[in-house]
Amino acid sequence: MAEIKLEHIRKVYNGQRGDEQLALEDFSLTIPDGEFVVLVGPSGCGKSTTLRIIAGLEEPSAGKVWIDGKCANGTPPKDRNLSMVFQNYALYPHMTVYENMAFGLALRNVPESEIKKRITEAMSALGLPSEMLDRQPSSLSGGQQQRVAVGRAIVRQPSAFLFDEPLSNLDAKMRVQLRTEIAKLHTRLRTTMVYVTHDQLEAMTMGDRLIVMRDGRIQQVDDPMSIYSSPDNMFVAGFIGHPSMNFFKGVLTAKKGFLYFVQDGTEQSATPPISLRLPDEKARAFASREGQPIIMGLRPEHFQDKLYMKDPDTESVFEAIVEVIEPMGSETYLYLDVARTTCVVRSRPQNRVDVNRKIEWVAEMKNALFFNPTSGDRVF
Amino acid sequence: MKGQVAREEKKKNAKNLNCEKNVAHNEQDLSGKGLKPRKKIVWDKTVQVLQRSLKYLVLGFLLLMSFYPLFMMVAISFKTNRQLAANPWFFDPPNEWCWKNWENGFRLIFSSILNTVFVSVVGTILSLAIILAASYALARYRFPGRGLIYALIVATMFMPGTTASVMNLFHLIQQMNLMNQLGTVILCTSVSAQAGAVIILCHFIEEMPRDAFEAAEIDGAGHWDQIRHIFLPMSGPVISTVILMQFLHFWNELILPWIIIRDPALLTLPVALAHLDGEYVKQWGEIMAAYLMASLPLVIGFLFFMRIFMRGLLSGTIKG
Repeated sequence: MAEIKLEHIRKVYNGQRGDEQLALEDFSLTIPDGEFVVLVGPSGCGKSTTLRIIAGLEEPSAGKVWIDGKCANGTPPKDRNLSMVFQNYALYPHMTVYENMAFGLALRNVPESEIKKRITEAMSALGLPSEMLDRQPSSLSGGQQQRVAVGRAIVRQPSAFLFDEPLSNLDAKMRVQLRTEIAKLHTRLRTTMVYVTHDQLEAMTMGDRLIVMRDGRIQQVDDPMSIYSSPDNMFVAGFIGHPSMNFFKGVLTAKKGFLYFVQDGTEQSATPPISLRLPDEKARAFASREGQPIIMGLRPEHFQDKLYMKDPDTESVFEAIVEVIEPMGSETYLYLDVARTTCVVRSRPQNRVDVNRKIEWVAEMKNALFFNPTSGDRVF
Repeated sequence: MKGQVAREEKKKNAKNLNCEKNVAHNEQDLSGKGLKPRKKIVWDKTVQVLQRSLKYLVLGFLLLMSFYPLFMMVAISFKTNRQLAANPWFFDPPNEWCWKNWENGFRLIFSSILNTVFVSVVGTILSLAIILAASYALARYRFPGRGLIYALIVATMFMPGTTASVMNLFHLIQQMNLMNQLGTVILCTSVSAQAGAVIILCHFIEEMPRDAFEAAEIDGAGHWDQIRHIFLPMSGPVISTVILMQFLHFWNELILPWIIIRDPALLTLPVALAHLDGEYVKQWGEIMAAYLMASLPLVIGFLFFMRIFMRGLLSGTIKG
């Protein structure tokens, strides 16, 4: 059990041609004991580097790592008492499943009977049959191998678990299954877990807290739902959530005493640029920004088909042409052409539409988010 | 039963018929080209036989060239010098065999066989330790000066080696009072000719999955544990090749022990064999017997150990 604290971590890699590559910049984070933290971001954003620095596989170029109140800079990985699960399992190919799991314990001189006990517990917790203990990792399926790898991490009873994209190599079904198992494991063990993934779905579903990263910097730290509903900037808004948030470029314009978002558009487009009225509280906040360019973000679920609405707000209606239909079963994603901007909406599967049809939609403007077009930061 | 036999006979007949048909077909073809068929076939066969015999003749000659000297060694080892002069090419009748050669030969080189086994085994272990440590460090870690060290190791491969540095080495050993000791032979030999092995192993480790090492590191393995539990078992084939290379290197080293060892009781095999070349009268029989005996440990050793090597090698690859 341990609290992990990172203070102003900076990591620079020296390239082969003497060039420097910045992997992490001013990364500060405190992970309280027992928390499940997910580091999420696109590849190359520094999330794996962060994990490797916590593990001790990399030394930070600057900054301090604290594990359990002790400065861990310079402490080799073997003395940190952490467990790590790798993307490609990293089982020892020449050892049996039992030997793989016992390796770390044997190195720590844990008595044989205790090793056996812990391995049996771990095997049953992970739903692995005990006959598997004598098999070589190469004879197991990917999912089984990763379970063994998780088991190897559990038996050590570490002060924290580190997961480096553990589910990325598995097929979709196995991924979902193991995802819930890891979540269950956390509920049971209540050990600090740091989980790295590029999959925002995994991040959303698993973590107590998300750290969204980009280009070596933290973009936002919050619980999943807060990040989803109030992202700090356009990157987080676009990265978290599937399908991604829709962004419209436009200007805030005052009309008839109300503030409208008017989309930038061309005359040639098949449908006119959208013009939507801002709800009162937003209008009040944006009074000073009238006439300024702005980017509006709306999630796919924040659109309604006007046809199915009883009393639609006429000031939030716009026209769009259906370009692509993606039926998902429980819902259907429609890709719309809104004055030359592609916009994805979630629609009910019963909603039968055809490609190239013009449909009227109602935007739920109370859920709209607005971003500064130059910095990308959210303004309201 | 009868029915079955009859059926088989029918089949045979059918086959024969087919054959005859084919032959007839061929003959027709040949006659179509205006050649006399029977002569053509005979001619083809002659060429074939000639070609084949020429092939075997060349092969036989090459084999003779390689093995006849060995055969002669065995034959001569049972002859006195006089017998050799009378009949150098083949065995004498067994009752005239001179077994004393083997006795004397054994006496001459027994101590040097022991010395060489000692030098080779200890030397290979020492040398392997250096190679493993060097290649592990070079392949696994990026530390300042790594590139330079690697380049220097590679550079030593292109240097002329012991032959060129023999004078300096001799002075050095003399001034350090290390002359005439097997330990010095081991030390000097084990720090040369490892560059190749280090390079091979370096590349091998770099190709190995880094995650396995890192997982072990997090599991609590220090460098030694990683070498022992991860690197060694996962690189069986390469390690066994390196061991073989190093062992032969120690076994066959001639120049260093020649300049270091003075005491006849401490001579290693290559030097002892060279010394056998006699000061006054060459006892060819004894020399040949000694040569044969000198190569026996290596042959027996490898026949026996190769099996173990191969087992380790296979277990490494299949399990991996």
